[in-house]
Amino acid sequence: MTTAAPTVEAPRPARWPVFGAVSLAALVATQVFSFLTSPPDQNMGQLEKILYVHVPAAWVMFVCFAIVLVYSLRFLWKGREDDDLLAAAAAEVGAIFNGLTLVLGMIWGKPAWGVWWVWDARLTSTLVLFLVFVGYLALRAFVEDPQRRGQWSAAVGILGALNVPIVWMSVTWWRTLHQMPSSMRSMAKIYWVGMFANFGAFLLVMAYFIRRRYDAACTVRAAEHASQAAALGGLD
Amino acid sequence: MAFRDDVRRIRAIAWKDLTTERRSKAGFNSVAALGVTILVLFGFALGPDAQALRDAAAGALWLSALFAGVLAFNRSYQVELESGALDQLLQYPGPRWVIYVGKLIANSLFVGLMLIIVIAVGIALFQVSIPAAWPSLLGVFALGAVGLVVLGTFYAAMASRSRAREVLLPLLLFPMLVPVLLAAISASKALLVGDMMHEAGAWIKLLGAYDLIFFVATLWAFEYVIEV
Amino acid sequence: MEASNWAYVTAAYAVTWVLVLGYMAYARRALQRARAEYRRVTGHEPGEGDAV
Repeated sequence: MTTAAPTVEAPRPARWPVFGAVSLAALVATQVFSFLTSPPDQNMGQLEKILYVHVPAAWVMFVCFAIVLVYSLRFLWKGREDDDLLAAAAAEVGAIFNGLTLVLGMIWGKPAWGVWWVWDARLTSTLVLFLVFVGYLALRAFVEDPQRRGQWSAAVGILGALNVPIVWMSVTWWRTLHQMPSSMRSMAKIYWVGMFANFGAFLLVMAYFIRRRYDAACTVRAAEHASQAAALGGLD
Repeated sequence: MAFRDDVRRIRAIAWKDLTTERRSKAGFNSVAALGVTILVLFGFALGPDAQALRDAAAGALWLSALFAGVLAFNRSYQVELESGALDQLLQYPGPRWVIYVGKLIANSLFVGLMLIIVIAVGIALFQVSIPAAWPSLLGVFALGAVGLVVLGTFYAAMASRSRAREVLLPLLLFPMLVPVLLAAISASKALLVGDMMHEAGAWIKLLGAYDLIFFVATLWAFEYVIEV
Repeated sequence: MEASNWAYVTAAYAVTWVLVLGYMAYARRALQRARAEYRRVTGHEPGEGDAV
């Protein structure tokens, strides 16, 4: 037995582009809605509008990393290659949203706190999480063998997710003297409506991204299987 | 009975690794020398003001240990790979985790010994006065070293067998070690100035919890990592 | 304060949209490349039965 039986198939081109267009339209709609409904804050002016993208991006990032955790565990349990590919797609999309969260946090911080960066518990643990998943993606890039790549990155993903609460706790203790970000407390109800609407639209975009990256990975693997089979003098 | 066999296997693997190190010595000497060198470089970066040096001593010590430790962990597997010994090791009967625990013990001694040298040099170079609570400080170093060795040994099992192992191990390891670094540095700092705020205890608990959680998790995950 | 805030708000939304659209384009290109490679290797469209 030299090659494992292909466990992934190249997915048929489906209606996902339509889904992508719909999710983009939803994102535009929720942003317009939240812009129109949010009154300017007396302290912050229009600045709180940044939160409509910053906070949902952070939530979506956690959703992505939860998917990584679940599918990594499932891959180690059942050994199906498509679980590994889905975890990898979610990790990449999560890293994208994680980076977006960081940049938006800095853009928020400059006018709100006067500096681009504070070693605040949230920002710092988000940064550490970003680095963990950059490591995850680097590991995948440096390992060719699919079985090895899958099992190794699953272990890295699970340990990384396990580390999130510990990092959060340690950074919070480290920064006990720092005033907590107070912007969320004072926000009116209408902000939360806009926030959750944006979160919904971001979730659609996330689902589209993950699906596309997963499809691409499956197609690449299916092509590799096919060319291996051809080289071994199988059918074709 | 089976457990006694596992203990014997663990001892054999730890002994094998330590014997290899003892016979060559070059590995340990150069890693310890690197730790000291980094410490000296920190002295240049932060000194020569004595107070500034004392304030930064804990951080400099831990970072030196971290950088030197990375080399030790990769070495631990590299020696196996050079002669194809790892494949043979995997052929022997017994569960996989005994290999991990054996390497953990060997690496703990290796890193512990290195840490003693680095600490001794650090106390002298950074003009640290040893506090009355030095046993707690020793405990902090032990717990921090265990966290470092547990994750280092685990990630090196992957990184050392990939392309680009030099960059991959620190890239994977350092972000994971942020809680260890924060806890160990904060606790050491607090103990060095007498722990007036009674904050060292919480950090020590965090270190202990971290060590326990990741020891169990890596013990479980090691089988998936080593067998492919 | 109002005027300067708008610059930050604009920057935040610009970054978001550049990232979303950019990643969308990247994902699309990567998928198309993968499909082209698949067609080259197997000689048929993805999803029309695999050569096993």
